[in-house]
Amino acid sequence: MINEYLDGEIGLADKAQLEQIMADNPRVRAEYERLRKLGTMIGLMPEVRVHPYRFRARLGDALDSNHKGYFTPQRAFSAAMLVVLVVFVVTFGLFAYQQQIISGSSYVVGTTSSDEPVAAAAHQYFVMDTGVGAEQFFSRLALEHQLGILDSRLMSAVSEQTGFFEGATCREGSPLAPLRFAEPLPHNVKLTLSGSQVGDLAGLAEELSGNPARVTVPGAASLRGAGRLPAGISELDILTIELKFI
Amino acid sequence: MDTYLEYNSPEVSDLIVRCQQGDRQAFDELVAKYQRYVFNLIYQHLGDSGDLEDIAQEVFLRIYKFIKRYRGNASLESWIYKVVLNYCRTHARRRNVLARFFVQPQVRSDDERSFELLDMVADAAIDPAKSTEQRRLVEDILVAVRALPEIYRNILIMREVNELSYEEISEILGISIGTVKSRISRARDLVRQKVNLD
Repeated sequence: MINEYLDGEIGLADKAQLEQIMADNPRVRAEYERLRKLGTMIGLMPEVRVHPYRFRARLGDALDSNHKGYFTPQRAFSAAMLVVLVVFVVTFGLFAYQQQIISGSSYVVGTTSSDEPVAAAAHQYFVMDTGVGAEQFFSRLALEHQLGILDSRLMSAVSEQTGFFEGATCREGSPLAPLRFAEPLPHNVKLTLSGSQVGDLAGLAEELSGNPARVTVPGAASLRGAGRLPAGISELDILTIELKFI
Repeated sequence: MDTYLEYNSPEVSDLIVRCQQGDRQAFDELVAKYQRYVFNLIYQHLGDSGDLEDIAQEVFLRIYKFIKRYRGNASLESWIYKVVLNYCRTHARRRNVLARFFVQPQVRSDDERSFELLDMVADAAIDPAKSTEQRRLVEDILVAVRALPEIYRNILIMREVNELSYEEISEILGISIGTVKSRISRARDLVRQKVNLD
């Protein structure tokens, strides 16, 4: 009731009753005085005096420019956030697209040099039909390595992954003849290589067989074309190639 | 124009009608009439963090844009108060984010500012012997008021500084008069708990 009395929002009957209580009870009177003092003190909050023309001129300029051309920190912040959002979305989109291509989950292989449409590769898994025997192929590989023609990193990769060269020997009196391997070699060999290394193997197979290497993507049409690989393979850092031998 | 006469003077009612018709001259008159009122409201509810003029500009741009929606259900001053409070709420939320991203309001020099703050303690003809003590008390109280939760701070400022009636506060805040009474009482208690008024 003291609050309402203080604010002048009390009815006449209550007003008289409260005034009587305050007259009789110093504690109630003191409480009223404290609240009144509080109100007075809050009312001493600094006041703002506005220049009669300066702000109006500024506001007029803002209105004249049809709410454009004036820049407050709030508007600057909003604009900056919008730019950041756009950059983020574009960057993220490009990143996601790039990741999709690298993972090979659904990229599209380009066209061959003969402009023949190339099937989309479903996975970074390729099959190469070499057209030659495994012994002949790997013997030639070892020979080219001995002659320094073959990239030593490719030879190391093939050797480590297959183990075919362990215990392999040269035939007596014929160093250029095929090697004698410790065990018969399989007709299918899977290797994990880079795209450019696959290109080297394809070239080797073509040279031995005299025919273009046939590279296929499982589930897609065969890719033929003068020993060329599907566009995009050479850019891949890693892929799996299954070599098929006769 | 008659629609607005219940809560406004004929002069203000005429001003409203002209503003609603898009009269720029009338709007300039309205700004001249209420700019001090608006600046004070903003200062009371948000304090001066250097962006008082920017906020006032945003408020008046909103008034210019939305004055066609004023229907005369309350005085123009109450309606403007409502616009200010709504914007202050939005701005207060945004201010923290701005600070986080190091966007500081542009602080203008005194020569560039459109306003100045008047020391009301000095002007209140308080006993000079006690002026230092009273100034400290006023500052303590204002700090306590600013630290109140928004629902109590706003209502206390509306009542103690702007001397609005319970009905006016009720209309501006959209709450019942009973709620106004209880919040004012609670707000005063909260301040008293932090400041010794004896």
